[in-house]
Amino acid sequence: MRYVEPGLVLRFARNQLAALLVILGGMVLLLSLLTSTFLTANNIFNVLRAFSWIAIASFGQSIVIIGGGIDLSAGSNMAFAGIITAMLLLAGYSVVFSILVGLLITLGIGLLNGLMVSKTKLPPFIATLGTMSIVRGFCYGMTQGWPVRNLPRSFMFLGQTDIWRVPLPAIIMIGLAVFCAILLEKTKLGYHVYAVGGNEYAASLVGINTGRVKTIAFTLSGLFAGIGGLLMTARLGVAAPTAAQGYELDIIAAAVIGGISLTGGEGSVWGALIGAAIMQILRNALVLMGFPAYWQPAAIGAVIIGAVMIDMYRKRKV
Amino acid sequence: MEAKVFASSQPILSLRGISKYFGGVHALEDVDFDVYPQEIVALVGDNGAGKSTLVKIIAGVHRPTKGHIFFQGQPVEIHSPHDAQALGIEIVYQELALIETRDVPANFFLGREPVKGRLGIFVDRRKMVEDTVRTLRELGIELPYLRSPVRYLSGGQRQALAIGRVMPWGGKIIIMDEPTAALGVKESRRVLDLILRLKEKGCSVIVISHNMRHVFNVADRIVVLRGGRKVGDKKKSETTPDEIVKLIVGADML
Amino acid sequence: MKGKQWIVVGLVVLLVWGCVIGVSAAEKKKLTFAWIPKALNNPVFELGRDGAFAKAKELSETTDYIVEVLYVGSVASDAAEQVRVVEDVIARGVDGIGISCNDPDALVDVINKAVDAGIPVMTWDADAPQSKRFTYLGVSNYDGGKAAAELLIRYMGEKGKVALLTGVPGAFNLEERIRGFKDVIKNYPEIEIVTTVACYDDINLGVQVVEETMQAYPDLTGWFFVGLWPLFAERGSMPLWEEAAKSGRVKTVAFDTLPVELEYLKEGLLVGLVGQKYWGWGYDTIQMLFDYVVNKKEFPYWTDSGMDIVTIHNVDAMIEAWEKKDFTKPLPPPFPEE
Repeated sequence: MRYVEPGLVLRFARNQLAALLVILGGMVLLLSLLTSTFLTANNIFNVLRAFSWIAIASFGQSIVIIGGGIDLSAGSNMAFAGIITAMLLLAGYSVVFSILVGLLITLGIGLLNGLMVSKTKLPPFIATLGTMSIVRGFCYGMTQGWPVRNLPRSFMFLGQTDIWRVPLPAIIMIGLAVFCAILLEKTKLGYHVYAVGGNEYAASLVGINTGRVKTIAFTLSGLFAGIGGLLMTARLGVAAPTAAQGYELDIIAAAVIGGISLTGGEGSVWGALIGAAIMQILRNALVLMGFPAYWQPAAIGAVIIGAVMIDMYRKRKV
Repeated sequence: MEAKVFASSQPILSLRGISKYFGGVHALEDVDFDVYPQEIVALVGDNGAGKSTLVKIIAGVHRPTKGHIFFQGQPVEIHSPHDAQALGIEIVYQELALIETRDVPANFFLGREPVKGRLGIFVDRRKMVEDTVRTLRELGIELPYLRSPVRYLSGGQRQALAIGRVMPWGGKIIIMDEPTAALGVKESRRVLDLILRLKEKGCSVIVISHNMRHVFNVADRIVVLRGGRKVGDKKKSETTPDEIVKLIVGADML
Repeated sequence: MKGKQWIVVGLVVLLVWGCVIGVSAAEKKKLTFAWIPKALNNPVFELGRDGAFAKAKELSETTDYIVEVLYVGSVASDAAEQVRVVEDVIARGVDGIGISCNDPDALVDVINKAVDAGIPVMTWDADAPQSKRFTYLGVSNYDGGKAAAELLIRYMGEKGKVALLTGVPGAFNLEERIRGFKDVIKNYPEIEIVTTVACYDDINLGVQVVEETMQAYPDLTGWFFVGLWPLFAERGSMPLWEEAAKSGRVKTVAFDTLPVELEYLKEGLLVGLVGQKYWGWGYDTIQMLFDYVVNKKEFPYWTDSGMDIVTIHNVDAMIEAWEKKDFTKPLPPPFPEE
């Protein structure tokens, strides 16, 4: 009888995070050699801030994808949270109240997504494609197309403050990553999210309430998109109805690059965090190296495919 | 032509006059079925004979159209898988019921993860690993990598895991549907050993199988269904594979 | 890609009665002109819409006609959706159409269909040159780009390092502005265009790439924002650029003349703006449609709508026009000393 664990090499190869960190480390090393500006504190913190809201939204997205779903409404939710909060702020409500209402509303949209998927059995792709459009329509309708500006400094503080030079959104991002990691890896709910995404039939056979698990996952995704959207709004000081348009694809790509399989049941928020970092560093690098803007989408697409292929190859091999 | 019931001890589970109709289809018609303590019952029959329907009624997935169920002599109603589990009836779903992407302890405790702490939301991972290792040892199941996703395990290892994980729940009756169907010779042997070991541990086992050799290897008694009716109920020592096969296909056809 | 991947059909119909309904109303003939922007989600079109309504009111008061403006469009920029909108308008029946085309080719068929049905069509802002529209009211984006380059050189001098910020690479109007800009810069060998970055019409990305460019090129002396994207963001979101602009190290010229940009200009963070006459998109288009239909006036193939150049010298007049929503008065010259 033996209950040996795999050897160090195999364990390393099987560990998605390790592989991702190697890719990330390689990029950082290469960029520090190629440019004089990449490895400056200023730039690093700039990059950190820039991907924090995508990363935060992708944590929620990760929970949904691990649970076997997908949330296309994330980008719209980001914009909507910003608009609701900005309009309340301009109407004279306090910062705390405005933020709470903004988050509550995106949480509600997430809940709605979850109920549509679990109760009416709509495929997540369709349900959230619908809410993506509906919420974006509300963004346009409520603002009449105009960005909401002149937000109070006390709100912009959230997005523009640095603590020991580290941008506040980045600190919030790390905090939320820890929260999500604990939720997914240490709690019963987390175990059930993986179970539902890995094999929904099996999960229901053992009596897991799969509908409840999915509903919670979508609700969290709505909330996290809202948090990301608010931080972005606070950074820019403007809530545009067109904000975060198409970000759902970046958010999903961050999760996928981070080794979260679109078929569900595996991956971690740390992967999504690294995935978001890889994408932002790539964008940053292309600008720093003066890579022509016209070619950037091609480079980013290639990285998405490359990262996922490496992950698939790694899974097949070991 | 029904064989006489074994009256030596009281059955742990008794089904009397069970019928199950799906619309106009009579899946089961007036079936009596008993399981005795520490007994391995093989349930055989052709496709569509009603084996799966019968075990699903026992497991609480279906409810009978007619008939009564007695557990340890008491009449019971089994409305859901949950009710069945409460009585100590566990069903081993096949490989289908494992989460490929999760490791052995997570699968072992799937849906019943132990919790710790005052909040009651945090999974007691240490207990999961310890209990998994202990149970697997007791049953003599060898799994190479406890902490790797189940997809890296072989078919036999997965089957052993699927069977082994019903153990800690105080199961009195364990139901298995074709446990050796997709396995090689050696792996089948291991699973059969495991079934025998479950019996040693005090469990009763209901096994659905098409493989006569496996049936005669482990079963104490063999129940034959045909067209939704029970056509045979034989002690292994009092029958032969030939006789059972004749019962399965219908003697009149030979 | 962004903005188009997302197709929502939305139709907002606003009817404005450009007249006071009095006793004479019954005797007056009614004219309805459809005014179709590229999208309803872009605020600059609202100014054009206001201009269209203003002209309709003016014409209804001063002529024997009641002029009505039908303001319709797809919510987001989408050529296919816009084709449908035009078809609806044809089915409804109007006396003329003024349209800003999402795609120069995609709209040709439907415009011709309207003309064949007896509805005159003109284009504004964005043309469909292959169609049977009777004229195009627009600016030459190429000339706009040249004007921006001249503005920048005036403030920055004849040497330095310049970066360009564009929206969606390949967008025809933006590429034309860039071409015009580069054609002027070509004549100044000591001015180097170090990079062109894109923000895909996204405020957040715009802020990001501007800051990254500031990081990558610490010796930058000039910016040409081909659109105003990052300027929608509040102070404090582009600290490197703001600091450099405030100290005068970096001079920035931007396209468009929206109030947010006017604020930046007044603070000295921008040195010059080149903008289209959004108001005129509606105000002039309705006049031209009226002249074409009622007065049978002939128009050239292409009508230049002219360009607003705003500097510190005439920014106040522009701010006032925005506040009053009245752009009928001509703007004072950008460089009065000349």
